[in-house]
Amino acid sequence: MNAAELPPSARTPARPVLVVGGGVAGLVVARRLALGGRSVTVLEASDRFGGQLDRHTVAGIELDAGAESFATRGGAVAALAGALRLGDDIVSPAALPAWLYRADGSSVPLPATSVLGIPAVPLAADVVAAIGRRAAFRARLDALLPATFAADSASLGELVRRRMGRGVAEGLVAPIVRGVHSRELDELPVDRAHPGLRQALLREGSLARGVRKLRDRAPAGSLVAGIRGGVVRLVDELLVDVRHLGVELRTGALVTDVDAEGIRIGVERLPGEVVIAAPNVGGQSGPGRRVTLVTLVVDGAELAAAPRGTGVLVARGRSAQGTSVGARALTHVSAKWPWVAEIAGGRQVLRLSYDGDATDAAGAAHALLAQAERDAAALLGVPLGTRDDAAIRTWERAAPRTHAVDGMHLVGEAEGTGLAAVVDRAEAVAERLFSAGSTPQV
Amino acid sequence: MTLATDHPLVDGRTSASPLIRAFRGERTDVRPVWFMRQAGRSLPEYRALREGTDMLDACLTPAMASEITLQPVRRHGVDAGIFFSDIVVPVKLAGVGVSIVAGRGPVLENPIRTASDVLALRPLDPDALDPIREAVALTVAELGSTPLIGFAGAPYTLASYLVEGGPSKDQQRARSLMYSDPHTWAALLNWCADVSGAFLRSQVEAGASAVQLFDSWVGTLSRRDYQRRVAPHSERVFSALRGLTVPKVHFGLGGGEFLDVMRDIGADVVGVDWRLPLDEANRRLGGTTPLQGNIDPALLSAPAPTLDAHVRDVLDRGAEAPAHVVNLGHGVPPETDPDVLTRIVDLVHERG
Repeated sequence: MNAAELPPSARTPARPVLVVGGGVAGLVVARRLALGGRSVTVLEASDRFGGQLDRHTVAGIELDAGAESFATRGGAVAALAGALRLGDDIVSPAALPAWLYRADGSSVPLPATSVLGIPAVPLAADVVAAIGRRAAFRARLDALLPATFAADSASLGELVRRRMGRGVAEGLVAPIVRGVHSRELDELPVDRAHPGLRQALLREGSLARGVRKLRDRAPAGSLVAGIRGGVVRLVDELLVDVRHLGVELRTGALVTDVDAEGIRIGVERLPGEVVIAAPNVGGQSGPGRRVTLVTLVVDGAELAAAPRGTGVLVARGRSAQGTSVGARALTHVSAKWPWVAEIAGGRQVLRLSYDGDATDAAGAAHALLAQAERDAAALLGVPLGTRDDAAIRTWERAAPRTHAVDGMHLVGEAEGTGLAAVVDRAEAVAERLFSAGSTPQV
Repeated sequence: MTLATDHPLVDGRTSASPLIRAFRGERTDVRPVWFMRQAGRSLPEYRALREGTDMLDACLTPAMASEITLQPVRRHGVDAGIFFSDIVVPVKLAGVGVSIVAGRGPVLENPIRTASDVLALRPLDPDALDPIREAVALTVAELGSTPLIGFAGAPYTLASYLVEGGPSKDQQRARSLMYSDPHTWAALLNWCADVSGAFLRSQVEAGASAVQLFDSWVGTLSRRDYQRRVAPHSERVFSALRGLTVPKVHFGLGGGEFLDVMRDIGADVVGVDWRLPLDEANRRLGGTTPLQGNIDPALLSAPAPTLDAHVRDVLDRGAEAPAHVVNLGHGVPPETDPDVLTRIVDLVHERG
């Protein structure tokens, strides 16, 4: 007889796990599975791990080159940071408002109590100041509509426009969605924008009351947090952990083919249980969106007072008159994060984001830097002073996956926007991969 | 990767042997029998051969390890060889300072107790296993149609040696690490699983027809701790054999409360110690799993009629399982008269 005729073991042991993609999602899944004893290999196509998180040094200051904060909602990222020994380094941003830069060139502080720019109190002074009395009264109508009205909206744009009107949608929510999610309002599904929003509307009876409830339930303090030294430290510590746990890490591993039984890297075939934690693998994603971040370190003394709080969101990228502000948002990094101010030693750190590969649009790096300086001065309303150093980084953000191959597990940005959603989902997928009986509690 | 075409299970040398058939769940006319620790200290020819050679050196000298493995097969006519080695052999091959002290067991130069100790453990270089492959190949060539069972220690037992620094009564340090630093615990058990997994895999690739994972110390664990903090790592050892279709035996001393967990992580056969009668073990496993065991080693020095009655009782109870491979409920004690073992083999083969 042949060995192949041997019946397979009555209960076959767990297959090795192949995690395609070495970003945060892939590393979180790998860590969780390895803690439970599973054999895990992480396959990263590029030459570095971390995905949307990375660091760079600008004017001698080590900064996040990608995401620099995370939503505190759900607590998934904070829990991860705690498990990675970073719990004491979780920091809140300075208690300053963010500002909105309007198409007419004026700026107003964003409403204090809002979720994604949706105000909890439509007639509050800061809302009226931002969008005008007419638009604020239109938003007030939300309280009079039945709870179910527009509750089945697919996009956030549709939901907000129908319940609160165009003023709130275009004047408050769109700039935030563009700034935070790099998405247009009508492209962003409601449940992806905020998983609890639709339910809050139905339960509380109006969008404004739903928002108030969500804000009340949010943990005390800010809706976002950062990590002293950079959110990228999560990647450093994840790598320490997974190496420690015997996870095999491979860079330059471009997965060419994938199915439920394993993957192929060129001619090499690796069998195992596949977790997809990268865009454009296993199921087609739409084209990714590009975002260019320009970091400026300047010595402008007039910026020390944080004239626009933690930063500015731009209501419309370009005004009809073609005025010059091309940036979608500006973060006053050294005003937002005290730890950055400490190491910047009086210099100011600014970060502007642009849609697309802005170096292409601006022609060359020096043209983009010149534009960024002009934009920053316009958005902050004061001169910047001398530029000390600058950095440009273009990121590709994953587009949502349109379909997936059966039998594989999907995590990563293509499955949810933002670090909080990514970590939460990665932990949940890892949990599901364990057989119920042997899930370790660690 | 699958078994090579000249592997004894593939070319037919051992695939129809009573041991392999029983491991696969077939009832055999004559029940196969072998003894844990049959190779080694109870045999005078072993003591003569080992004279002046360190235990771990003997394990890593292919001709010697092979000869020691073959000695009990020749002498007793058992149905399987068990590869002569020690659970710390792959640990030593991975560069950890460990020696075996006569009368005591494995002793670590520097116990592994902190996160940084675990971090300093290096993976096992596959080439370091060459002496193991060579010893297995030599043995399999001699054994012909008698299957060789590969051998490795389970992560919990291995980790306990590493943490305690040597044998211990109740593995208290190891168990407290499990709770005080679960992360380091998981990392350590993964490392142990990887070295044991590579060790087992090298034996199977070189010709072993089955494997047995030994977990000598699980008796100090609760079912809950075993299930949550140990079993996933033992499963990782079996996972290392993926693609190699050999029967897998899992033996845990004092594992009676979680035989099902030990099976469900990928074992085909469950080894039972002397404490749990085989009919009860069979009941706990739902009557679906081939069993191995479980003559009480203490009775090896009892008067012949007492021992024979016990062996018959084991055979009767074992007959309730779908298939039964006769063995002891733990290793052969060093002072055992080898003739007693030969007599048990004859008795089992006569009784069927």
